[in-house]
Amino acid sequence: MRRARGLATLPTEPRFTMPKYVIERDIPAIGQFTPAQLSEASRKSCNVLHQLAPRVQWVQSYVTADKLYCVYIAANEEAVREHARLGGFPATRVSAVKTIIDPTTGGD
Amino acid sequence: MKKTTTQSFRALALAVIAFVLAGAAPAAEQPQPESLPAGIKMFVIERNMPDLGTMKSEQLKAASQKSCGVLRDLGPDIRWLHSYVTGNKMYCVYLAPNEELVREHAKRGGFPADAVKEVSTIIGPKTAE
Repeated sequence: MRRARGLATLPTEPRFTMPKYVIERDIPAIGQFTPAQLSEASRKSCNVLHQLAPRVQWVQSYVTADKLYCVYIAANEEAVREHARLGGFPATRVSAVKTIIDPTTGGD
Repeated sequence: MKKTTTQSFRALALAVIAFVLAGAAPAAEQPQPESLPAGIKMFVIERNMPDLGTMKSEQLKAASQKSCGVLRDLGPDIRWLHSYVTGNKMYCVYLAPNEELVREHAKRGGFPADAVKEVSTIIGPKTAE
């Protein structure tokens, strides 16, 4: 069974790319989760990712007081929502990333 | 008024972080909030921009330049790491000492800052191991 790797492991099909998605997950008090609780939640997410691989790949999530901002690579929005449904996580908002900009975008 | 030594150290630390990040793929390599210098936090900023998806690359470039100009005016304590551009919303990741400075940058630059949230940690697939 193919295992979802850490950071972006793209499919091997040539000229096939999957977009990135930013997912907002409203989870009250997520910021108070202990490292053990975050680890457990991550394990649960990865278990579902194994089932759905390679259609959904988790890049990383920014943990704030009451919300997660998750960055995923996925075949489409439906795959992202399926992962959320199977894992029991909220997917309050799912947005496809068109591009990533940073200070070098201005030509600095 | 902050001590000069602390300010210098913090500015140096941020410069080192920025140097390391220069050219690195955003979101693949970035500092962990826990390892930031004392007094510097990481923030995610939500900017609702309904026409964002129709902006051309020249417009994004101009917006980036404007943002960087304001950042220079605000000094070394606030740093823009990167932003995820979606159809109608931008998610920006910044380093700053507090939310107020983040909002000041938005106000001066003319950008929305609909939510400013401090990041306590970044998790990923390795967190599960």
